[in-house]
Amino acid sequence: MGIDTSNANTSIALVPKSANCPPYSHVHIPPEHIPEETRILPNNPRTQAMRSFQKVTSAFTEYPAKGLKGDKKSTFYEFLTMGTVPYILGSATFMALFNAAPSWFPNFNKKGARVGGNKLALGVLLYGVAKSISKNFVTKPVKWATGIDTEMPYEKVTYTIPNSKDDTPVPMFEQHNVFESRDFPRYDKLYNLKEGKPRNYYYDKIAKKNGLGTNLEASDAEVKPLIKDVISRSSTAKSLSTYVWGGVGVMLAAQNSWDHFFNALSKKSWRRFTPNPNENKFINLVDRGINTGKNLWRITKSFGRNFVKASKELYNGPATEKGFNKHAGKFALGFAAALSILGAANTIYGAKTSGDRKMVIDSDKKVTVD
Amino acid sequence: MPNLIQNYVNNIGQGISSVNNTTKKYYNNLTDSNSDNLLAPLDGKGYLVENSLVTYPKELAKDTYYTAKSLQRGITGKANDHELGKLNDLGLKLGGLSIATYLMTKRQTPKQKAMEFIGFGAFLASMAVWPKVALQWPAQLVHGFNFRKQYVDEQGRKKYVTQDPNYIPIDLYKGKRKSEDLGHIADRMGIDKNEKDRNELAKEHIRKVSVQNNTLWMLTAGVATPVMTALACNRLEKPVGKFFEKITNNKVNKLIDKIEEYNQSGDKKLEDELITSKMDNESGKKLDALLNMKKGKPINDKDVDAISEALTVGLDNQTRQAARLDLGYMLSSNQTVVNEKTVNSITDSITKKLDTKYGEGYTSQVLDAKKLAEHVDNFMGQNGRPANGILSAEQSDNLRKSLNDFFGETLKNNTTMREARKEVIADMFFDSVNEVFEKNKATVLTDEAAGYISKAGQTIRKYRAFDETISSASHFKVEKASETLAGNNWGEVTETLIKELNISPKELNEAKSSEELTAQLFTRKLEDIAKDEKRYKKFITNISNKMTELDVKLDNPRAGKRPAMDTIIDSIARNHDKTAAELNGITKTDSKPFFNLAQRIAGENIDGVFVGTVKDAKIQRIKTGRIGSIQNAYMRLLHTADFFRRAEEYNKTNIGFSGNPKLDKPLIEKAKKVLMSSHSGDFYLKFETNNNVNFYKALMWHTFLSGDMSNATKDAFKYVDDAGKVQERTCHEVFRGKTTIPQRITRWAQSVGKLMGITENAFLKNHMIDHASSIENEFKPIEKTAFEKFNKIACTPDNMLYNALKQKFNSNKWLRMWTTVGSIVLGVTLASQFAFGKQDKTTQTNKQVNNG
Repeated sequence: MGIDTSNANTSIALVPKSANCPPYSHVHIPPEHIPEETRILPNNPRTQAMRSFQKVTSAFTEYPAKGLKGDKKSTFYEFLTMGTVPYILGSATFMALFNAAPSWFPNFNKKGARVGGNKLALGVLLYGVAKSISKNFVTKPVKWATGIDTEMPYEKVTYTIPNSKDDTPVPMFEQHNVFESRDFPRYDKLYNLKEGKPRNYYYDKIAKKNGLGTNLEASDAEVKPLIKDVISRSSTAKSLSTYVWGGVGVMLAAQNSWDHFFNALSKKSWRRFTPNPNENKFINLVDRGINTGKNLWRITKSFGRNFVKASKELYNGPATEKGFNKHAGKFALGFAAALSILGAANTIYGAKTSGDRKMVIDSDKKVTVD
Repeated sequence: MPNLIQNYVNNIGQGISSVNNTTKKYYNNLTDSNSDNLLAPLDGKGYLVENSLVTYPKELAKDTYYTAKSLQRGITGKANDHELGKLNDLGLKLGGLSIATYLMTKRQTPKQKAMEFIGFGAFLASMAVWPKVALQWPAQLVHGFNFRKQYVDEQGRKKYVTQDPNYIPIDLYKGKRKSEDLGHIADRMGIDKNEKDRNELAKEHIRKVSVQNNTLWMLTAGVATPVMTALACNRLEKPVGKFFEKITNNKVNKLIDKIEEYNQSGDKKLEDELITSKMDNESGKKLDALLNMKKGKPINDKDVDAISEALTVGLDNQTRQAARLDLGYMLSSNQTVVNEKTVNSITDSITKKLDTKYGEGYTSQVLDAKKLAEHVDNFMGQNGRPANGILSAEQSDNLRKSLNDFFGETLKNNTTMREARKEVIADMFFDSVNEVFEKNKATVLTDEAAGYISKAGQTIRKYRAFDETISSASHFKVEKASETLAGNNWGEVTETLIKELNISPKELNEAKSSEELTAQLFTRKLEDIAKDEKRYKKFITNISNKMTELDVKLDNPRAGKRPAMDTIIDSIARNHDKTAAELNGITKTDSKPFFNLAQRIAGENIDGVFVGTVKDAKIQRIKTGRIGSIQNAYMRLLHTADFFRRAEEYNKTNIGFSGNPKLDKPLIEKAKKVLMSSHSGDFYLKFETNNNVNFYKALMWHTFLSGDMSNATKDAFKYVDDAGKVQERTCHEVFRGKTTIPQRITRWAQSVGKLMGITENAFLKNHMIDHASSIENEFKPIEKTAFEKFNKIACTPDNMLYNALKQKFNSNKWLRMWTTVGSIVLGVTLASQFAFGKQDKTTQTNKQVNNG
């Protein structure tokens, strides 16, 4: 109790110079001590953008290059990160499937095919956006209520094993979340989280917030099972709700209101800029920029306006329909919302009730009996 | 040593019973003379999963149970990472199902609805099939092992053996089967039998090939899965459509049987099912609420509009106008409303007139509004203050006279005004009173009238409910919409046509640009087919077989039962007639308050003609507009094909037509164009042959009226019966019963010829009298309408093919494009296997060093 050994470096590289070992094990341990660079990152949009960028670029370049070679240093993390590739390529392919062919269609058939294609392409986009945003419907309330940010990011830095004597270790960056694994949460990263505060500062905070008690002797040991519970429940809630929210995105894109937006987006609606012959190039360039900005603003406004209209259309259903056909949109929204709300509530409930609290003798200095 | 083990056993025995059995094995081993076994590790509980069609259901059941358990453990906060991963898959399916369910509500036909789920299913299937077909099997063929082999670990978690290259549980390959034997795998990999560390090399090879294949899977799945999904859906659309067409037609036929039974028996239970349960009670409530609100009260034009609208909800505008007309008559009245506004209205009217003539402010000199109000009030008091201020015709006349007297008195007392002016002003006053009284004419909705309207509403709602039931059947059978019998059959016939014409992709690409090019291609192809008797017979038989399928599907012909379409038409007629009769019956006296409405719905039967009625419109829509126009287009196509063959037979034998080659050659050329491309406008213009009357006559005769038919066509529809007798093959025709295709073709051709020939400026008069003297008497005037002519001439064969080619081009283009993309991805994926697993230089060097 109190002493965390989950990340202690107890293993010693004992590599006998045996001929039976794979070739790389002959190589010596890096000559210099490599400091621990793995660090917790602030959970903000900037971090999220940087992490996404790093993951996506690596997934499309570095990892496939290694993987296709069958590199010895390819890891499971790389394989998992490459899961982004089918997601992005798949979305693009779906959009292309609905939109590419009409270019060759005879003139009269183009329009109908394009409108349908545009809606489906928008559906693919809104699916991704809704799925991504809806994660917050679970994680934010859980964070507010329990203090546990299930999306707390950290960057893991590892060094590759050199291939030869002269090889220099190369740092590898992996983007993880502290609580991404229920089996192995990175508890070690939560000690000494704040400078000048006690070692168990984070665990104390979580224990207090979730009613486990204050001034606990070993708050980390008390909080760890609670964290596991929260990870399990919140992950369940996210898995079930975010895909349904993604579905709501597709449903939203299927509404007729978007036809106006596609009109606003079309080439013919673009207000063209005609350079003024009496002005110099710079002024014309600035005016061109302003014109482009105005067009983009017009399109953005149209998106916003039609987003609201489409949402109402989805909620209200077609006026000509009745029964399930009319209220299907309401059901879908209600179902998605219920999954998020119930999922978050269940997680919070778990955090507030998990553990054997009846055994507590002193709530200020929790001592439990087994 | 024995003591140590003894202690160990004792300790374990106290707490952990599950380990007991295992430790017992060790204990027992003590007596074994071969103590080597003591050093062997315990057998793991993990095992490799054997995936085959036999084990699939069991594995599926296990996986489903595991997911359900994971959900339960996830909700209670106990699920581990592996279980949470399963819940992610569950979420994906849940999201997909919710999308499919919602989009299903937006689709109209059962097939479209089903396709939403099939699409989602195809997506899931593609996700599973792609790595198996494009990667796993080829890799197994080339490298000798299955890189997607699954295993179940000690904790019961099913995983892929090679998913984590840093942890491949190769110890599970215990050689139970060949596919689990490292030695065998090494053989398949081509690793030398004498190689040192052969197993290590095999393991490394497995790792490498697995990493490469897993990477390629991630790189290709994004393109392959959507493409496979789309292509699968594309392929599945037709069989799914056929399946649902059959299901829906059976359902509709059962409904029609019920309708027929109801028509015959008037069964109450069936009436409930077919009519009463479908009635629009909501609009009934609205109408009755409106009537109750207005009952006994004066109503104006707007109120009458509102009542007629509520009465005719769901009916067309013309029918609503008929109802409005009836209500206008029913609710007309000579009563007048007099209330507080009446005096003001009179004063305002007279003031306006006086101001215009004598300038502003003149009224006060001649009229005291207060006294006028008192006068009116006194009058109302003397007449017992009628309810709502409604005066009878007599009372309102009295008030009118009394007001004139009142004003005459006022003018009389005015001594300063000239008499002539007094007369002018008196006239003005008289006019104003009349204007206001006219405006205030009060129509009162009496209880009796409200009762009639309510009853009519009930009749109309009943009519609409039954009409809706009949329409639900007729819509699926004939309407111009997706997934109807008629629409599907048109698609099948045109598809057969394209197939039989044997149009190449290049020809398709050229012809789809214009109707003229299509006509040229069609003519060329038909001429080719006509030259080959066997091919021609196949052509005309296959196409006509497809065409007659529609008749059978529409009518569901059964011995002793009425054909379905006859029931539909009869039911429409009955429903309209019954409604009209009921509407005409709503009265206590001889008057018919809903005469116009009844007339609009069913009209009077004058020699079987119901022109301009809803009944006629509905019946004609089905009989002529839909079935007629399709059948006419079909027969035109067959007749065109027959003409091409007839021309070919004439070329070979010189028998047929006029026998004069100088006339026949241009006539055949012209007739081919007429049959292939002429629209009704061309028929009216007589195909620009006005400068040659005789040629036109001959053209019409030989193309349409002669009744001649090619021998090949006649033969194509003949067969030899069991008695060895040559018979004509009959088929079922909607509204006619058993007919033959040659009969149908000839009937169509002759009716077009006759229809277009009988005009005021009859080119054909003499000709026809020569050949068919009774033709003029055969036609009633009604059948010579422009619509009938347009309908008989129907869709031109070139237009039919042109539209079908455009459609074909679109789907072909899409299909070709994505098949190409899919093929490239598949090709690259398959070819990659031959590049995978190659050893790099370092490994090779090490191998050489190790091998000495």
